[in-house]
Amino acid sequence: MPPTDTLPLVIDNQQSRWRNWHQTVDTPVGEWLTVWNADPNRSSLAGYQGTTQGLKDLIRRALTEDRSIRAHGGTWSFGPVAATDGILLNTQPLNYRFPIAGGDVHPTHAGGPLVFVQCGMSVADLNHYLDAKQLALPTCGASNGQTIAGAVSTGTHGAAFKIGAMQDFVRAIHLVPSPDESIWLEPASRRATNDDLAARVGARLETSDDLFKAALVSFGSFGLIHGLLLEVAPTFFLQIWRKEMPLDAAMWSAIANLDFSGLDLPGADGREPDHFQIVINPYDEQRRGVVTVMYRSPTRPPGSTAPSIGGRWSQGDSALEAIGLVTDLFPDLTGPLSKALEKIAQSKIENVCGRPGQVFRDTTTRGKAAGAGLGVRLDQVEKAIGIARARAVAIGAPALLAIRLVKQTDATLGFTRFGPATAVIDLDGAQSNRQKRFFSETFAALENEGVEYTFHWGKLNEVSPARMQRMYGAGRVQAWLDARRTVLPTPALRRAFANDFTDQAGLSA
Amino acid sequence: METLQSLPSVITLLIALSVAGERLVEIIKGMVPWLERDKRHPSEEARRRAVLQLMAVAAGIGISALAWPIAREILPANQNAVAATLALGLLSSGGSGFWHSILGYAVSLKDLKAATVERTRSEGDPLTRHSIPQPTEGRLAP
Repeated sequence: MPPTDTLPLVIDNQQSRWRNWHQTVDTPVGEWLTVWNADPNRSSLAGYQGTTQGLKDLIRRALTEDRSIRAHGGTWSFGPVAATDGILLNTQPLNYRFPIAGGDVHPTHAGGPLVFVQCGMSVADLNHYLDAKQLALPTCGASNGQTIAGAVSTGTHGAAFKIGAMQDFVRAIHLVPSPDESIWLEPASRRATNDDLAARVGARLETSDDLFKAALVSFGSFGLIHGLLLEVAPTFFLQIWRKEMPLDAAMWSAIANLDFSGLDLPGADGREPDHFQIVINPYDEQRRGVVTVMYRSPTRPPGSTAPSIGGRWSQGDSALEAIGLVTDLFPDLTGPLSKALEKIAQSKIENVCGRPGQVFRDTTTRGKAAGAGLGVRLDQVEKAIGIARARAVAIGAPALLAIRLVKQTDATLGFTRFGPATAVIDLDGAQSNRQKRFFSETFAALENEGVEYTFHWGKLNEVSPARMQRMYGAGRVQAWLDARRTVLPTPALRRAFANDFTDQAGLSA
Repeated sequence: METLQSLPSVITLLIALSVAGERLVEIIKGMVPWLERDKRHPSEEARRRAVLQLMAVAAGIGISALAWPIAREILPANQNAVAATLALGLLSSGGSGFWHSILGYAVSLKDLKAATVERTRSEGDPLTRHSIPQPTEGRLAP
C-alpha cells in the first residue's frame, strides 16, 4: 500500500450536471470528482503509485455503491462517450511525465524514443513538453484540447496518411480495471519495455496482441487508463501549403490510389506530401475544395515562414453558433453563410513551416459546434462526398465537409480501419436542427447506397448494435467484447465501466 | 432550462414579424389618407386607432401564416399550426419596440444564466487547463 501522503487529492466538484466543451452534451451526473496527484509539481514513481491506489479506491467505492465509473479528459468529444450518471472523474490534473530509456527499454524495441505519460496530460502540453526535448508526437489532431488518454481512446487522428491515428504510436497501456490490481498491457509481438518496469509501477504485466489492440480504442470501457507509453519521434518540421483546387477526376483518382504525383499540388517540387486534407463547401457549384498539404522535413527549409502566433480561429469562434441560429431562422442564408464559414477556417497558406507543436496549436474552438466523422474506403470517397453534399444542400445544413487521409490502424475498433489508408470524412458546422437532420440522413443514405463506413468515436454519431456489426463485422466486435471480458472478468466490473453510449452500441455485455 | 434557451429565438422571431407587420400597416396608411392623419375629434381619433390596431393584428396573423415554415422550427415541437399562427399574429401586433425591450431582458437573463454556468463550471472544474501546473519530469525508479 503506497504511503498516505502519496494518495491523490479527490475534489468533489459539487455539480449535478456535466457538460462537454462543445456544449453538445449536457447530462446529469451522480458525482463529478477531480483527481489531483498528491504532488502536482513533480513527477515521481511514488506519486504515480499513490494515484493508482486512489483510482483503485474509487473503483471500489463505485462497485460498493453499485454505480458506474468513467473518466473524462478534455471533454473534447462531441458525443456522450465519457458521460455517466454514476461517478465521473476529471483526470485533467494527472499529467506526470517520465522518459523511458536505458535498461527499461526492451532489447527488441527498434523504434523511436519512448515517453510514459499520465492519462490527463493534454495533447497541447505534451507537444510543448516534447518540443523542449527536441521530440515530437508522430501525429495528432488539428486542435489539441484533448487529453492523451481521451484522444487515444476515441481514435483521434490527423491527416498523416503514412503515420496513422494517435493510438497507433501507443506502445503500452497502464490500465486500472479493478480495486485489486492494475495491468501493464503490451503487445506480445512488439515489446517496448523490460518486464521489471511493470512491477516497479505496481502493475501486473500482460503481454497480448489481442488485448492490446482491443484496449487501444475502448473509450473508457476497459477500466481507467492511468498511463500510456508513447513512441515519439525526433522533432521535425512541417512545411504547409493551402490552396483551392478543382475536385475533378484526377483528384478523386489520386485519393483512391493514394498517389498524388498526377496533381499539381502546391509546394510539391517532386515530393509526396505527408499530410493531405480537403475542405469542401457543399454549396460551391464550381466543385472546388480547399486543399492543405504538409511536407515533412528534418530541418526548416529556407524561404519558409514561421506559423503566426495568435489565434486566427478565436476570432471566428462564435461564428459557428451564430450561423447555426441564423440558418435555422432563415434557411435561404445557409449557402452564403457556409461560404463565410469556409473563409473563416480556410485562408490561403503558402510555405509556412513549423514544428508539430507550433503547427497544431492549443486551439479553443468555442461556440456550439457540431461535428460527425466517418471513416470510408479510399475508393468510395467520391461517392460518399457526393451523397453528403447532396444531403447538405437538400436540407440546407450549415456544414462544411472535409476529407483527411489516415493510415490504417491495428486497433480492433479503430474507426480508421480501412487499408492501406482510411479517408475520414468530417461533417462539421454549427449546432442546429438542420445539422442534426443532415447527419442522420447522410448516415442512412450512405447505407442505402452501399458505402461502407465507420463512425468517429469522439464525434456525433448514431451507433447501434446493427451498425456495429455492419461497420466492423461480427468477428471484430466479438474479439473486442472477449478482450473486455478478459480484462473485466465479472459482470459487476463490466457494468461499472459501461454507460448509455456503450449500451446503445451493444458493447456493455 | 430549454425554455430559457429558446426564449431569445422566439422573441427575435416576434420582432421580425412585428417589423414586417408595421411596414405593411405603414404602406396601407400611406395609401389611405384617413388612416394617415391624426384626427382632432377624440372619438374619430379613437376609431382611427382601433382600425390601425385591427390592421396590425390582421397583418400580424397574415405574416405569421406566411412565416409558419420558419416559425415551426423555432417554437417548441407539436404546436397546432392555426393556434400558433393566431397567437404569433396577436403577439407581434404589440409592436417591435415592445419586443425589442423584452428581448433585452431575455438576453440579460440568458447571459446571467450563462455566467452562472461558467462560474459553476470553473469552480467545479478548476481546470481551465492553463491553471494546471506542469510538473517536472520524473523517473520510473524508486
